[in-house]
Amino acid sequence: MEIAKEQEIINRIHEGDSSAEEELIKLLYPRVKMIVGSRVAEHEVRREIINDIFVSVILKIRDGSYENERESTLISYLNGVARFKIQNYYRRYYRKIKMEVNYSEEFTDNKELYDYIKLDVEENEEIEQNKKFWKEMINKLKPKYKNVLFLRYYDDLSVIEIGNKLNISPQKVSDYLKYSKQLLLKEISENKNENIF
Amino acid sequence: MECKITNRSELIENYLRRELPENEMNSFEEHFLNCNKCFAELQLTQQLMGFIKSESKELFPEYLHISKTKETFSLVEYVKNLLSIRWAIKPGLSYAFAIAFSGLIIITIYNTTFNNDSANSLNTGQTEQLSSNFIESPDLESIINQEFRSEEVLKVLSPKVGEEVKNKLTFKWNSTTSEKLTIKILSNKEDLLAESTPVNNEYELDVVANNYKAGLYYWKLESKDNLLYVGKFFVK
Repeated sequence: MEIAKEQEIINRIHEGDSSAEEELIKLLYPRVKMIVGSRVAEHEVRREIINDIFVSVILKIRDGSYENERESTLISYLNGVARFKIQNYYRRYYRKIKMEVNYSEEFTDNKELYDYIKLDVEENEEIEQNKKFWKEMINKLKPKYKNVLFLRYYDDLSVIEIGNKLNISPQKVSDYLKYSKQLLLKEISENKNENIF
Repeated sequence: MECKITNRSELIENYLRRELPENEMNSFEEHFLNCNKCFAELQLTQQLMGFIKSESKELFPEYLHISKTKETFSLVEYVKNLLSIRWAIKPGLSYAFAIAFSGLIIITIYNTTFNNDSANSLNTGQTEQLSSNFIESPDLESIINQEFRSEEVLKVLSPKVGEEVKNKLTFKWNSTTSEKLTIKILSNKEDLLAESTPVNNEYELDVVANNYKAGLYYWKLESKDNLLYVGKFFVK
């Protein structure tokens, strides 16, 4: 996020603009979900941690304490909060303390905002719809790219193992993987199917 | 904001496979919180990996012939494919070769196996016991090397995660906290094997004198109320 944009959002949240909070969550939710998802396997717990992260950050901006204590950009601060919340979860998990997240009433009163974070529950439905899309996209690739994709992501073979199997150099395997992903990204942006993510 | 990462694809693959060290993982996460280009490719790769992993069998069966089959393995089919695809031998002839070759292998295995019955059953038992000592604990693996405190408070100096030891292993750490820290040594099944609260932030373990069998072991650093670090090592 550009610094000017970040400051604008912070100012609007501090002034009580709930649309700014929604904008912040919509912008960063997928990324925070990626971070939490890479460390926490359980779906329900993941969702609770993500909610906890956003509640903490937004409440801190609302009451002005983020600005007063500001030591880093909002993104760095959010990253720090995410890591802290994940560590906290493991500390509790290992001491067998049940995960407890107490949402501020002030936050949950804003139902529309809170419901947005519950988008996760619709994730499985979206995945079903996207299967058809993914199949079409992958079928547009040339066989040499498809071969490499399947050996890498279905068989979990390394680049060297794929090279040996297909009699091509590891560098070529890496190039094929890179090009196939670039082609898919290009197809996605041309189809403007942003909902794929 | 222009992205300066040059090895994006490789970094993303390593991140998704959890093969990045913790500090690199944290740096990359802070980067993609801001970088649209990296995050778009990260999401694409994650979706692609998940889709191919789960849907290949149903949607792309024609590609499975080039992959190693994960379920029932047919020796005859394998040899037949090898002969047909690699050396372009006609299918009918390749089938005959495949059956003959497979038969030869089966006879050889039979002779070897059933003429070494007692030796084999003993070896099998030992092998099973040995391999069970290396099975990872899912709970502990998920928190290996996590930084529960910043480096200013606690820094583990040795051993490295996954270090192999034959005789002695020294555990060392720097701690600025006034709390007393306890080190615990666990088996891979999370049984407590040793515990100590050293005053000098150092603990030496003699695996030979204490009869530690070959296998995977975990170790923890704890204060009175908190878990601070989890690591692992192997005894060879």
